[in-house]
Amino acid sequence: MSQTIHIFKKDVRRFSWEIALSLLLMALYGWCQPAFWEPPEVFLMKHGQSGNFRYMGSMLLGPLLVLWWMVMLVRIVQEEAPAGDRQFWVTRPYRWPNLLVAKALLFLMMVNIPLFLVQLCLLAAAGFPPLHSLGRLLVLHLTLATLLLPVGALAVIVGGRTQLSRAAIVVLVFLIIWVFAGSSGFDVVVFPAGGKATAWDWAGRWLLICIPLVVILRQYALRKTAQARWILVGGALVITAVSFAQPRSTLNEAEYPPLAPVSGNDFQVKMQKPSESSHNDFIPGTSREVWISLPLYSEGVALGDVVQVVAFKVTLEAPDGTRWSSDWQSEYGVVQAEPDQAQDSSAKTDRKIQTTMGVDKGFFERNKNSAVNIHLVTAAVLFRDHESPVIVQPDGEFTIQGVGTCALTQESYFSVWCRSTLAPLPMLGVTSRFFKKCPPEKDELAGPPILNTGWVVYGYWGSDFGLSSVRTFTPLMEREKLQQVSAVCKESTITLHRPESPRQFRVESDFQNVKLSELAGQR
Amino acid sequence: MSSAIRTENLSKSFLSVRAVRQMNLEISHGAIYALVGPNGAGKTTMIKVLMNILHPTRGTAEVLGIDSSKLRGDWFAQIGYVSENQQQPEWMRVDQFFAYLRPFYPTWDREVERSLIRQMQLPLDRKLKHLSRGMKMKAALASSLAYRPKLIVLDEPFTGLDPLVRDELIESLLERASEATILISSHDLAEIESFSSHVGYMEEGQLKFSEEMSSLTNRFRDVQVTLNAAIAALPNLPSSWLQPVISGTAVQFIESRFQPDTTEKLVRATFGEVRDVTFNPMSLRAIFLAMAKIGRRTD
Repeated sequence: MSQTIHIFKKDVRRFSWEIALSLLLMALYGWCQPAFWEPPEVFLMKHGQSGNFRYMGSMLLGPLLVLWWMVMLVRIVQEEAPAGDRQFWVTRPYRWPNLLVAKALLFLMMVNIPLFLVQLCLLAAAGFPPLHSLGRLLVLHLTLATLLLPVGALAVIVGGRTQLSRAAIVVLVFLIIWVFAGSSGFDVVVFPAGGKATAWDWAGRWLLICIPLVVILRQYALRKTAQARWILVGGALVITAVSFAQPRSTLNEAEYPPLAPVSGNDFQVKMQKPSESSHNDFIPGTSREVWISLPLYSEGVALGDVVQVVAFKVTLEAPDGTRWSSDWQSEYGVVQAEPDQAQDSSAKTDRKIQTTMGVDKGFFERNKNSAVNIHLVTAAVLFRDHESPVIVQPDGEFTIQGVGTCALTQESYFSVWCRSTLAPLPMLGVTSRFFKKCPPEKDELAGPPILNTGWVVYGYWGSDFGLSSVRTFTPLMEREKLQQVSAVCKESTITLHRPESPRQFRVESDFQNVKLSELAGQR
Repeated sequence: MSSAIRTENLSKSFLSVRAVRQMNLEISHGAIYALVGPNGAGKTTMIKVLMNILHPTRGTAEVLGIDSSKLRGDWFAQIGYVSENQQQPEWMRVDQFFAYLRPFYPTWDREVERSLIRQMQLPLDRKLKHLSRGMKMKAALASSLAYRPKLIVLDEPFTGLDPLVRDELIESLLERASEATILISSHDLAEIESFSSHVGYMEEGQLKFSEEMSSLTNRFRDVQVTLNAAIAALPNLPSSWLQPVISGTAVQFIESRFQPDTTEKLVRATFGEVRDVTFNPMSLRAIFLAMAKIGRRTD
């Protein structure tokens, strides 16, 4: 133990500047991070010149910190490198477990503990009890380990800058191949998007932790660099193989049974005629695929119901009987009934589910001018929004029990910004009444209300490299409506939706005699 | 007497390059063993295998009675290793360097440390990276002697050093020679000759000979033979007569198994009418050069 402390003290002295810089960056990170918790224009208006700096910092400091830690990790390891035949410590009475523990301790004291403290401070500053999030913070640090341990493994198998540069080039080439292959080879779809991690995900994460750990431990204990390098290469291949072996589509059809007619919900997916579709943005195809877009919309969502579309599968059948299937593809869309527009024909547009996919070029070319039949299967989650809505006035921050804190802004456009802990987000919606301007005219107040609902189903904002203990998210509003009316006045009330009792189902639809050429290249 | 270092059929290869081949070496406790040989002979590789910096491909090596591949950690508290190409924590000042190393060695002697620092005139307040090459080597040597190691291994410690520094290093080393076994690889044959008790000659990864210094210098002689009449070609010579040269009536060669009683008789028997024979003792440098030349010629 005393040897561990002795080496640790020496490294603290050796890396005092680097440690100071890391702590400074972390303090800055903690100071800047609240810039994410409010809409940029609000934050900038409140904080003036320093707001600009903090806003920039909130975007840059996360990646910068991770990059700096990687550099630091390499330097700390290389101070007493296990690889090579010229390092002085190898012929001194160093005990390898003490050396390894000293290095780990230094990194823990320099990175994990200060970061943990910053994360606790951020939680407290955001208004959340810090101690309730300890478990999730631990997972966050574990995720950080999946990023840093491979760098550590690389550092223990190289002896000096030249080898390190070569190794970095090899890793870069490997990553480029990975990304290239990933764009076509292992583009894994998780249903619903941003949902629970699958066993494959966990396998990948544990491999990312365990393989580097084995390499690091073995290398410190035995210093057999060539073997360690082969283990690392083998590990990278295993992770790649796992990624390739992972099922492309993870939708378990058994979890999405067909919607029973007695369910009281007559949800259907229909398709507009391609010429009626409102958008015509061109999407370029590739050498193997042609992009087509299905202008779908939904009908039959009962009042008080919310349907979240999570995936779809399209099968195209040509007149000669040949078929092409898209397999399950993820989709994001939330549809609900809007009482004021139930009879309105434009409601179709409002409940639009736009679906874009790449069709095999050969199939497309052979059948682009033929009338093909389309068989569509849509997997969705049904929510019942039957709870009494919570109504808040559109002024300042408000708390959503069990979720977090939200703030409204309409400086340049209306938006709702929310922050929460890292706990999973429930289905959450925000509905507001809109006016053309504030205060609203009397006839506008008397007329039918223009409502717009934004839904949060997954994901979070922020380019903080996953370091922050506070998550930021915003419900997505319908763009079209916001272009027509954007003022939320005192007369508007904000209704929060917390639909519950989710039920998963799938519906099948058939569309006859559709010309593929009319669907091509549209968004 | 047990051995401080012993190797048995030790080999080390780097892919297709066989740096050390079937090496059998034994160094007794208390010996000052000089390992000599031309560049690329495998001396440094051999030492690195002994210090467990490199792992042997075949064979075994024992250092202070332990398998060299198990040599790590606390075992190095008894071994002082200094190499010309070893990286040091150059960011440390000399005093910090000593202070850092002290707790690693239970036998560290502050008195010896002070005396070495004084003797080598080491500037304590300067960083290792700001020291000259000679000073760095002195600091490394001092840091490896202050704990009274049982075995001192020096790999090319004198390369590139001026004679004054070299003498100081040797002086410091000799002061501790009675306490330790010393293995030193060097090209500086003149210096080595002055203090080594044993010598081993390595070439192309093989140990060509290994013996006491006195025995080596006794068995090598530069032989000058003057014949009564010139000869056109050399008769069949014994294999121990190396690098024979004829020039008229003069024949010169190196005898590698000189024996005062028998060698002269053998010369006379080989050449017939001999006017004069002289046997000149050879320096280690001359022996080394002769061996190196023979090695190159065999290639």
